[in-house]
Amino acid sequence: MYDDLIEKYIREVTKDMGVKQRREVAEELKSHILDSADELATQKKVEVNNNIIKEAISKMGPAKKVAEMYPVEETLIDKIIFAAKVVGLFTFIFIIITTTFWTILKVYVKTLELTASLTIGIVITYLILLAIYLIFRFKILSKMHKKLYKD
Amino acid sequence: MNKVIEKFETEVRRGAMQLGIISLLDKEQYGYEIIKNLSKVGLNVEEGTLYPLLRRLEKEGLLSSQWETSGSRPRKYYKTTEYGKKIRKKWLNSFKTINKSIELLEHNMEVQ
Repeated sequence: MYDDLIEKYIREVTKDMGVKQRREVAEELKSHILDSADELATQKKVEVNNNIIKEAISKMGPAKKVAEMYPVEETLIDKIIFAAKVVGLFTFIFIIITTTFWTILKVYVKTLELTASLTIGIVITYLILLAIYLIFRFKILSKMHKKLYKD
Repeated sequence: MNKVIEKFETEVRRGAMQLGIISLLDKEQYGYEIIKNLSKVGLNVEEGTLYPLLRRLEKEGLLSSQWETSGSRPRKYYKTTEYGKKIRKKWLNSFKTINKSIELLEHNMEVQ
């Protein structure tokens, strides 16, 4: 079915878009390609087929070029997902480092035990480091953002 | 040499297309119609590149849009806003000013 050809092109154009924008743009471009294919088919007095669809898509221009021309639109969900990824990655690294450290320490200090106050200490350290990390991360990001989109 | 020409054309065309679009859309039209009507006045465009422009103009408040889903295919109709109409007057003037400068430059250019 030629639907696959259209989907492939649209996926390439919309792959970096937020959920809402992706849905709208996909719908709009699909209608356009089908309209264009109808017209090409009528001109050639044939039914719409794979070749007609390919021709309609080629008239659209390269997917990458079209994708780059779209304005950047971030939705709240995109931001939340991004923040969750950042926090998730930090937590993952923190857990790996603490467990490694703990295991090594346990070898040398036999009396070491995970007491309540030690747990609280680790959690507080985690929160402080997370806060520092986030401040740096987003400061750098917002600077980059300004540089990239200053016009 | 073709690449140089193409790059320049892309840069110039973008402004012209934006002006073309907001001048055209006193009556609402959808993307496919817009491409046809722009090409009638000599503004040809790689079809896919029109849609990002429409979205940009809408985001800037120069166009408004609405979906029409009752026909055979869902279509997004665009229309120039009041704000867009104000802006296009200014854009038109700046294009005319540029045009005059270019003519002057051409006039003074050595004949090749």
